[in-house]
Amino acid sequence: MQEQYDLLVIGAGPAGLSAASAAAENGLDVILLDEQELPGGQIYRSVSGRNARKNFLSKEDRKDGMELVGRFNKSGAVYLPKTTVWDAEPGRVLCSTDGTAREIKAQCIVVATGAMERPVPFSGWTLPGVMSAGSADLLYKSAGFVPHGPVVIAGNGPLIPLVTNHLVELGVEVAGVLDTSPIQNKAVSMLHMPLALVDVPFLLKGLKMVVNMFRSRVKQYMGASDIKAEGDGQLNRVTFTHKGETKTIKAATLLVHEGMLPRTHVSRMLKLEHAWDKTQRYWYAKTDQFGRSSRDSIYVVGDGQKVHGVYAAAAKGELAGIDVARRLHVISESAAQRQIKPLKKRLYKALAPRGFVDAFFAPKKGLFDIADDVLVCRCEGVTAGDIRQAVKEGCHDVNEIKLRTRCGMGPCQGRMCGGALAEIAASALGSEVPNVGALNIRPPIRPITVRELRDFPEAQ
Amino acid sequence: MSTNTSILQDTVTIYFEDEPLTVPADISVAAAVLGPGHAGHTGKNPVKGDNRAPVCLMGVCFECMMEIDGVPNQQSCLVTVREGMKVKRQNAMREKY
Ligand SMILES: Cc1cc2nc3c(=O)[nH]c(=O)nc-3n(C[C@H](O)[C@H](O)[C@H](O)COP(=O)(O)OP(=O)(O)OC[C@H]3O[C@@H](n4cnc5c(N)ncnc54)[C@H](O)[C@@H]3O)c2cc1C
Ligand code: FES
Repeated sequence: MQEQYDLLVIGAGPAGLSAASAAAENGLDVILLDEQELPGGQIYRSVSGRNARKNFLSKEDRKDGMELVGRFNKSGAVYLPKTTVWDAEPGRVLCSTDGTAREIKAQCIVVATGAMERPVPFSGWTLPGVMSAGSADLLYKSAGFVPHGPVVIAGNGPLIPLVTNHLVELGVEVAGVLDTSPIQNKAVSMLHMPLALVDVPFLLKGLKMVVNMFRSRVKQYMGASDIKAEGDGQLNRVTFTHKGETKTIKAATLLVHEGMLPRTHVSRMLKLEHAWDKTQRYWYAKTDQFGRSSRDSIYVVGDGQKVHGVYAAAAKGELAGIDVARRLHVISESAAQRQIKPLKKRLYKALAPRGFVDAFFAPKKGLFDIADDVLVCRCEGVTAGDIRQAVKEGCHDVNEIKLRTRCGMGPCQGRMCGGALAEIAASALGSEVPNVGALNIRPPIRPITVRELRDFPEAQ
Repeated sequence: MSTNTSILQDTVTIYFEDEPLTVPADISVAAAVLGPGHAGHTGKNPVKGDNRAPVCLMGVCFECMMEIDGVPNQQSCLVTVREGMKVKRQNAMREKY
């Protein structure tokens, strides 16, 4: 099957929905693809589903999410659910819905694939029962289920207070929060406070979350380290060091969270220029204020470009949608400017607190100083020691290490280990991450069946 | 995982490891087997053979791969339950090469 559109948007979160709506409202033929069944992305996951009224703990989020989806539904853009993009180049993408592949052509592509939680390997992290903190949030929003208690929550990042409060509200036994954040973050982040004061309600909302977490009387272990998940084929307990002592907590679920980073597999596959963010320690696709990337006709917006949160994601998506309409000449320059002006204001406000938030939740130094026997590549069973050994043997680029060790060659294609691989290699070389390169990402970016390949043999 | 105790309307029945399992409609296979299915794990790592289970529920980790209606390597967090669907843990080891 072949189809042709003016604009193809990948990802139906706040950024993608806004880009698609703005472009379609301005008269473009737009198609929006997402691998989830329902639009909404991560924050508004399943917001239009039949159980959302019950499953969304934040009524404000639900209202905002419904507004975005409602606007999109009226915009005239086409929504293609359950569809994963696994190949893309300027002008076209290859994607699959329920195991059937198809090609879709479009003059412009907006990549809005969102953020993921930063995977940080530790002893026992492959045990069933160990999950990312955000997954608990997604499980509840999409299905109304909560994780088995007792639950331990560990790490440093914005989802820690959010998920802790939600689980407490839902009556789940939270046996402890292991806070791994470095103490100096609090001081450094204060330097960014003056600009953050542009958005006082945002700061108050964050403060309220933290206060509620303390009020909940969940036991918190500040400065916890050396976290280990233990059990026989299933998580049974969590051990860690706190104030110089080794402690053990019985747990059925361990939720870990070390902040968020952009999902860059699609932008990497498209060979866009990327840059390294030193504070948050992640790669991001370089764009201008309209989301235009280093390649003509390709845009990257939302948390998949830089993790700036939901309001910035929506504003950036919308700016890209308008810019596409302008470049394809369906609206005049002055009409575009009229739409752009209020959005820039919105974006300025949404970005104001980010310096503060990024510094407050900055990943700690030595986060990847993990023991040699810890698995880094979960798929292929490659340890930190294997990576260090490959470095010793002369592999100084992550792609060489990948070839030598198979780290990053499994089905997840480095999504879970790529960051750790680079950090461990850089530190072994006494160097910085940008100097060891980033994994080459080639299509297909997810395992596909023989049948899907047969339909598009040139994708091989 | 445990189920929210409110009455489950709009349900479908799937078969998890040949046992019928009635779950809310519209949810992912991963949610169904972790929640009402109390699956613990959803498969084994093909290299090491140890138990694995979903980590992210958003298509990133690939630890949720199961055999669904006879097709292996399906990311169960991205597949919605359907009446009569047959879901199995994926336990195959990879051939040595
Ligand atoms: C697990 C999790 C929970 C979060 N919860 C909250 C919260 O409660 N409150 C909050 O303020 N912020 C939350 N965030 C932060 C949140 O990501 C953003 O602020 C917001 O959702 C970003 O919007 P977005 O449109 O950029 O990306 P997203 O909302 O992440 O949307 C991206 C979409 O792209 C799709 N996609 C990705 N790759 C492909 C592909 N190859 N093919 C097809 N589709 C693809 C995904 O399925 C997804 O729907 C959460 C983040 C995560 C990771
Ligand atoms: S649970 Fe991570 S990909 Fe499905």
